[in-house]
Amino acid sequence: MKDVYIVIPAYNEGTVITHVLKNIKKAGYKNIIVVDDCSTDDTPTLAKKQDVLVIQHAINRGAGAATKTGIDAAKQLNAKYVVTIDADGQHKPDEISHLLKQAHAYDVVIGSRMINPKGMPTSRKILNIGGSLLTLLFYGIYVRDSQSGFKVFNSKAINLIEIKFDRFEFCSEVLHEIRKKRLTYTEVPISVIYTEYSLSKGQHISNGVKMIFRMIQRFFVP
Amino acid sequence: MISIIQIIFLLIGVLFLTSVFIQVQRDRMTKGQAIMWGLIWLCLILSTFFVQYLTIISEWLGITRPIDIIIYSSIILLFVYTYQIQLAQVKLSRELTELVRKDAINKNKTLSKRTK
Repeated sequence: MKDVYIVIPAYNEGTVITHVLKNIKKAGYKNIIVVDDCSTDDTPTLAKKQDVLVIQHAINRGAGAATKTGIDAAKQLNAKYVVTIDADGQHKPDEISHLLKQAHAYDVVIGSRMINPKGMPTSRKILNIGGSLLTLLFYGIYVRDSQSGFKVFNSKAINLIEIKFDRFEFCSEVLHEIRKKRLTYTEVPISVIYTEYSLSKGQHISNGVKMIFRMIQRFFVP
Repeated sequence: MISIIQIIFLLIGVLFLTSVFIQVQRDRMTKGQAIMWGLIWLCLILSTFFVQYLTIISEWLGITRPIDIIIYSSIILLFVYTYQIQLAQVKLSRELTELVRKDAINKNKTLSKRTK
């Protein structure tokens, strides 16, 4: 697994980052890149203690920007596969292998919480369905979990996908790039660990409204 | 006889025309921007003192009141300028993100060794 890089964009995840990194290492992945998006807590310090590569943004630019930084870093390190995973502990590192199994046949593998949404709060289900419908409306591509941060990209996808959105709407933008660049993709069911903490960190209605506005804006201001 | 409002508009026009000239001298404005803003302030001054020409123009355009030319033109100009500001803001935001990202990678010792 030396050519698999795990990219974790992180912002103020000091509460859980150590636990997340330890679990990923326990699952057998050593090439970990944490991109700290100018956290105001001790996220970067704690991440460095876990002996992973930590890249720090000088100012906060958003999850999209941090993900792109991580992917660029992985490219420099000759990554064959890049796995993006959320830093809030909602994803199970054991399931990385499920996505990687499909990565040999597809350019992008999306971990989908909506294939088996057991335990998902109703508000999140609505947000996810809404996000998927919006992505279909704006970008002409439908996936069940358009806002999933748990994805695997092969080297072709890493080199072709261009992320321009800085904030959460980059998730939808990635799907747009998949369609535009004619990349192959599939969805793999993943389970989600919902805690008070991970729910507080995830997407909210207000983010959804901002996301819609930015996606509309993208039509007029490329 | 010159009215008070004409004096006010004249002062505003001259003040901003002077400002445009100074900005160009200090290289804070391109020639294109200077011409555009210079013309706008000049139009303000001229329309203040040559109202009869506004009447002729409004009749030609099919607008009932001459003052409406100024209102309509101002609204259009505001929209154009807002659009340009938005384009510039998006461009700046993207450039800032690129700068932050590249700086972050270059400052990382592990990665900067690889780029050398």
